[in-house]
Amino acid sequence: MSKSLTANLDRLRRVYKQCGDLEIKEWRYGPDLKHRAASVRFSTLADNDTNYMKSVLQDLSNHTIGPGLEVTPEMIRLFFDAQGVSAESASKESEWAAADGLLLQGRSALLVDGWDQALCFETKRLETRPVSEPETEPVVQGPREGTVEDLQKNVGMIRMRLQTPALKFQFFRAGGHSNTMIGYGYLDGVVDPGMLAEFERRLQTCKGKGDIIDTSFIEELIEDRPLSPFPQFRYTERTDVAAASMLNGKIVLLVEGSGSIMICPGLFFDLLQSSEDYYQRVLVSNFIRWLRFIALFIAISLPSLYISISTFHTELIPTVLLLAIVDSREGIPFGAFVEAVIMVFFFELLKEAGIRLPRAIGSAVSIVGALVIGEAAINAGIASPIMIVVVALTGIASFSLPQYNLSIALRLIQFPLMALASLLGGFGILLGYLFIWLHLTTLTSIGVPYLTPIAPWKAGQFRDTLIRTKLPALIRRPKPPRST
Amino acid sequence: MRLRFATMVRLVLTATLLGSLLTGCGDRAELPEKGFVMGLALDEAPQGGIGLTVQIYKPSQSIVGRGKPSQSYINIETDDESVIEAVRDITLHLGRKAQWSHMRIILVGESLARKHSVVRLLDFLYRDHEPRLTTHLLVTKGAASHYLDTVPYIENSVSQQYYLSEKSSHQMTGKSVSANLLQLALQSRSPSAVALIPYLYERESLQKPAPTVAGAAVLVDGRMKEIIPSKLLEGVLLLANGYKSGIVEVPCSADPTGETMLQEDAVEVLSTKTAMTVRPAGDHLDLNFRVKAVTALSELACGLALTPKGGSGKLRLRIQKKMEQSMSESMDWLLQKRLDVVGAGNRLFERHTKLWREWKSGWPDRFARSAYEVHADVTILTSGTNVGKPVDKRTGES
Repeated sequence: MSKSLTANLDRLRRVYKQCGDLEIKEWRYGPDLKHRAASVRFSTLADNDTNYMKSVLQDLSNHTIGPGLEVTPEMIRLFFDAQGVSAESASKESEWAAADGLLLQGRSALLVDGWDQALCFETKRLETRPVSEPETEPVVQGPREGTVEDLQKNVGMIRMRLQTPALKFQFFRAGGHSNTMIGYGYLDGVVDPGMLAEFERRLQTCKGKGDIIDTSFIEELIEDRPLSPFPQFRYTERTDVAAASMLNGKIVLLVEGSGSIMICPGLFFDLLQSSEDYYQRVLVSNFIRWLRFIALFIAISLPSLYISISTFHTELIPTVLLLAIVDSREGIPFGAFVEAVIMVFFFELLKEAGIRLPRAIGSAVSIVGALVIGEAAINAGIASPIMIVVVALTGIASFSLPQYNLSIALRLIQFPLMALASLLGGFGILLGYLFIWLHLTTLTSIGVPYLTPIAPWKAGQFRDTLIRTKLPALIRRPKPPRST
Repeated sequence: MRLRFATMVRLVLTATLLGSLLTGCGDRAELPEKGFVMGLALDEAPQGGIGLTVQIYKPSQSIVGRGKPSQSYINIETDDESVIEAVRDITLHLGRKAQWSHMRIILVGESLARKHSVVRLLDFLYRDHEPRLTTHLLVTKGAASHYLDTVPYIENSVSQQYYLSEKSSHQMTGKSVSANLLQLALQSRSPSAVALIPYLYERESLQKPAPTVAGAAVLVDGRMKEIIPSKLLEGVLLLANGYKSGIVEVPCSADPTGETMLQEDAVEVLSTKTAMTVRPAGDHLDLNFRVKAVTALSELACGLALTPKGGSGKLRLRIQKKMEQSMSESMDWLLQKRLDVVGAGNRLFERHTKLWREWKSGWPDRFARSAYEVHADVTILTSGTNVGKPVDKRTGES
């Protein structure tokens, strides 16, 4: 950085050419207003409330020298070099690279003529979204605090829930044009050090990759099997979930500008859990958990079961039901497989349309679309009512899973299963299941086997897998001090 | 990693190909390609072959069952030298593959059942994988195919109606038996080789023939020998430990020639259990039947109040007497017809195998010489009302 203010300002104007929101204000101060200074900031990032020049001058006159008119650049330099008490915290930057970075993060810089350092002041940030209830994970009972797009706030909310020095948070910048701040946290002493080392090793590969917009970018960069349909990390927008998973030895990762918290590793049974499992009474939460397991089964295999039973194993259908199905299938031009593929495709199309459209129109599209297409498809003889029931039930089952990425994965898997069912019947479904199981048993999430409490068997964690035992057995408590 | 993925893909492909070889695609057929057999009737064909009538479900062609067609089934008749050939001929007429898994009922004409062994006739149904061994069967009075032409009352097809009437008639009235393919095979292949199959006939009701399932056909060595009338069947079932539930009518007076209209108490039998003991005594058998029955009062027409002192005890004795009487009548009939429906031969085979081997050849005659005793032990569970008095005491007071 140059000592000359003019040179510095020229450099700024050159670098930030055509950046309309860069605001440079020049000031004069001291005896006869002969000394020059300038404040620089992005008006879109930093607020306009505080005049830093004025506050610096006031600090100087109050604490060090008498009347404000006597201030010289030398005094300012001495004051800040000696860490004088100032109303505004400021950092001194002598390198352009550092100063640029701070400017772009929304700080204001004060440049004083004759001093080769910039004073960078913490400024109030732009307005962010207030903390509100998370939309993707609503609960009936329990905390309603959701994350926002502000990393500091999110970490703060987590720290509020885990008030211990064992809670560690480390931050780094991804680089690139976005230069996003990334933070990850864990509970020291609870997290498995080997897993943490592996996680950090993989994070190293993300450093300098740049242009991280959302947490999911990191997921793809560090996951074990990017081509697997099964998600290997769990996402949440709830700080209570993040805190609880850290208590269970997980690592959480947050990205500036995104509200999703990534929980690593995300194991199969974690993905089927919801925070409400622990806020409801034990019987109720087990009932809901089993409902979810059944939903998982339905979401994967109901259409393929229908195909295989209606084309290969008709004898399995009770007579009265069979006659009803035969009635409804008569006059449908397609086989069960084609019919199922058409209807599942329609359903996915409607769902996608419902999500992408503005919310007000979206819900109308999904409701009306489903009714019209369902009803019209039956009347036009494209699909049978039983097929509509099967498809609708599959969709509902996949929606009832707490993790959206898991439910998409299951909807993907159902297509090959349907094809297998139409080729080989029940045997085909069996083959399909076999391959899904084979895949799941070999899958890992940052080195941890995907089906962990069951394969490999971990009796201690199993208490919270297929069933949730009573809370006293689950809560981790520090050991009471041993009395001598 | 990449290598493992490639290996996986190869594995999947090989397994899929092998899998398709294993199963073949013979079973694969969409629902509209199949004709669902609801009922089967077997008769004698004029030229000495087997006449086969198949009732096939006809789906409502209109969309989503809006307005059913008048008839939801069709009957197809074929005849050939064997059942399987006749079965294959169905496709000639229907164009769809016959699916046997949901067959409700098998009707066998009386004349055919008297001439040929029913088990042998139905060999195809025992052997093929589609028909269920739990399919029920009936013997019909006259030609069996005629009964498939009857228009059903409520059900979709008359086969379903026969199936339901067979079941409920056995379970609720005790005037019929219930038999499926498995039971028929087990009974026919038991040492005494006697099987009971319910009997279907037409009865005039409101000037219209109404199909009725009552009584039973007795098959000896698979062939039909005799028909047990429904009046006697209650006693037979009591003897054979096959009585589920039914009504026992108890006359007010002991005089058998007296008026019966409103002169009978009636009890509903809720459950029975019969223990039979078989004891060889010289050249014949001593049979001893003990029935334990739990009953509930249905009608108290004789005007007798149930008091702890005597009313209920007397009624109990009357019920027991009536049950013993009906069992004796049935047993006499069975002995006279030389039909071991009660399974005495089977019991003898189990307990005295050596003796059974000696007696086996002349078994019906030896059975006919048996002596027997019947005992009934009746419990009245409930009178249906709190006090157990007749509702109207004036009429029918004895």
